[in-house]
Order: sequence, then C-alpha cells, then structure tokens
Amino acid sequence: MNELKELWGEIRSDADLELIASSNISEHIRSQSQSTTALLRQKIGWKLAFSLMVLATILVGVALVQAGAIRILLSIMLGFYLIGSTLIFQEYRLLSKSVDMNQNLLGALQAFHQRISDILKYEELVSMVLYPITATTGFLLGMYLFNPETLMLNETMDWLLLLGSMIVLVPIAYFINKKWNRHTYGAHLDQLKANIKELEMGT
Amino acid sequence: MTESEFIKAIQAHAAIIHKITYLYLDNAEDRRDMMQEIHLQAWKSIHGFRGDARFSTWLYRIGLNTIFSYRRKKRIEVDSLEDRDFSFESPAISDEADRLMRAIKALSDVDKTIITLHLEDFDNGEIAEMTGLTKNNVGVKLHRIKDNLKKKLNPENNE
Repeated sequence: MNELKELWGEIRSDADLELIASSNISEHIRSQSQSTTALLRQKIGWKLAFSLMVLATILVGVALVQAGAIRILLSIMLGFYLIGSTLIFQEYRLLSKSVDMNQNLLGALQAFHQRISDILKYEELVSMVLYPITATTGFLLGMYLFNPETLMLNETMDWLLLLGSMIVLVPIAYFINKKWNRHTYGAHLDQLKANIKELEMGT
Repeated sequence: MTESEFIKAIQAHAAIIHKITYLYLDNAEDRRDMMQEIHLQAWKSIHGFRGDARFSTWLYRIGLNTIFSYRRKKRIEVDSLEDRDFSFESPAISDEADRLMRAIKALSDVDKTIITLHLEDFDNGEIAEMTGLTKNNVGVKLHRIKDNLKKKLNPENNE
C-alpha cells in the first residue's frame, strides 16, 4: 500500500512543477463553456431566434394575404409554430438552470443525464410539431405561388392530401430526429449511464 | 472569495487539475480544453465552497464532476497504453511511477477516481462523500483495485 503511495508521490511532485499563469486562469473563467449542456443551450438559442423570426413572418403573411386558402394554411402554420416555439422556449429555460457541480459525482451525473435526456425528448416533440407542418404547408404555398389560379383547400381531396402528408411526415420527422440525436449524443449518454450504473451498484 | 483569491487558490492546487486531466484524457489539446473548463466550472460554483472544507477536496469534486459530465471526444485506448512511454511527458518520474500511471490510466473511470483519491490521502469516508458510493463499497473497491495494480506493477510476484 505504501509502495503505491510513494510512487504516486513522485508523480505528484512532478505535477506540482507546472504553474499556470494567473492571466490564463482569468481568461478561462470568462470563456464560453464547452460542456454538452452549454453547447445545447447555444444551439437551442439559435433555434428559438429562428422560430420567432418565422413566427413573425407568418403573422405578417396572415395580415397581408387575402386568399382564403393561403390564410388557412398560414394560420395552421402559425398555430404549430406557436406550440413549437413554446416547446423550444421551455428547453432554453431548462438549460439556463445550471447543474449544481457542488454535489457528489453520482448526483451530478444523474442530473446531467436527466437534463440531456429531457432536452432530447423536447427536441423530438418539436420535430414532430414543426417540420411536417412546415414541409407540407411550404409545399402547398409553393404550388400556389407557382400557379395562383389553383383553388386550394376547397375540395375534400385537398384536405385529405394535407392530412395524409402530415400523417406520413410526422413519424418520419420523429424517426429522423431520434436517429440524429442518437448519433450526436448517444455515446455521451451511454458514457454517463455506464458511470452512473457503476456508482449506483456501490450505493 | 474574490477573483484574485480564487486564482491564487487554483494556482496553489494546479497539480490536482493537471493530474485529473492527465488521467482521463489522452491528448494535450483535450487536456488544455478540459483545464479551461474546470477553471470555469470552479469559478461558477465557488459559492458552494464552504471555508471550513479543504479547497483541494472541493476542487477535486468540481474537477471530477466536470470531466465525467463532459462529452469526451475520444476515450483512452486501453490497449495502446501498454506500449506507450509516458516519461517524455513527466521526465522526472521513475519507471515504476510511470508504470503506476499507466496502470491507473487503464482502469475504468470510477475505479480511477477511487484509487486517485485514495493515493491523494483522502479517507474512505471522504471518497464516499465525493463519489456518492457507500463507505463500505469504497473499501471493497479499493481493495480490489490495489490488488489489481500490484499485480500489474509486479507481475513476476504473481506468477
């Protein structure tokens, strides 16, 4: 036992030789955090700004456009964007509360895992709400702009088309987002989970 | 604690951060990034430091929480550790110390934490408090890790 501590002492005294300049520390404490939650917050901040911008554009569209069908489409988009923006805002608020680093390792890891998992669930919900409606209404609006004479949403068939494409696109958007989240954060969540499991086994 | 007091305390305990980053990360760039992140997290969490506790204990806690929760780009390749020469990074240490460092680096994250804290003279109660494990479990795990390390350091005695 002492042998290990003696050897460790050698490493310790060697490590002590390194001195960090106070200017470096001062710079570090003013830097932008590169933690997963901080990076997520930054990404979601941009997403929130973008969705608010789209929301404002749709509002202007609803106010200016006269064609009834387009107004209906824009109103549907507006509703979904309102829900989506609210969800993104919730994510942003959740990420603004930092995880308490003063707690023990197990507590901190559980909190990080929970926080990231919650955000990814929100992201999947947002993907279901925003992307399919954006794609469908965008496509119909594009068709209208290409041929303004077309009367849209006057026949049952048009509504069925809109509904059908939504039914197809919602699970696709959900699946793609889930896959993407798994690709981006899966390894990190697995790493957190493995360490939590190892620590929990000893409690 | 003022900023200048904090900076002085961090400088006085630089070895802690140096060692944590060295044990958990494999390349110099990642270690520099992690050191920066630990300084930042420590400063953001300074309100949680109670003057009655040791600064080193608190800094270890912050350092470990930061490194464990960070998305590490690449995990240490355990297989490659056997062939690696660490002495150029720490020229003053002996072959045995070099082998110890290598053996500790090859342990799992949690085992690495327990043995490091033990070697830094934290008692089992303090290690339990910092990790969230029970004191008994720290004792059991330590026993197993030490046996494992001794076998690696003196393989001929165990044949």
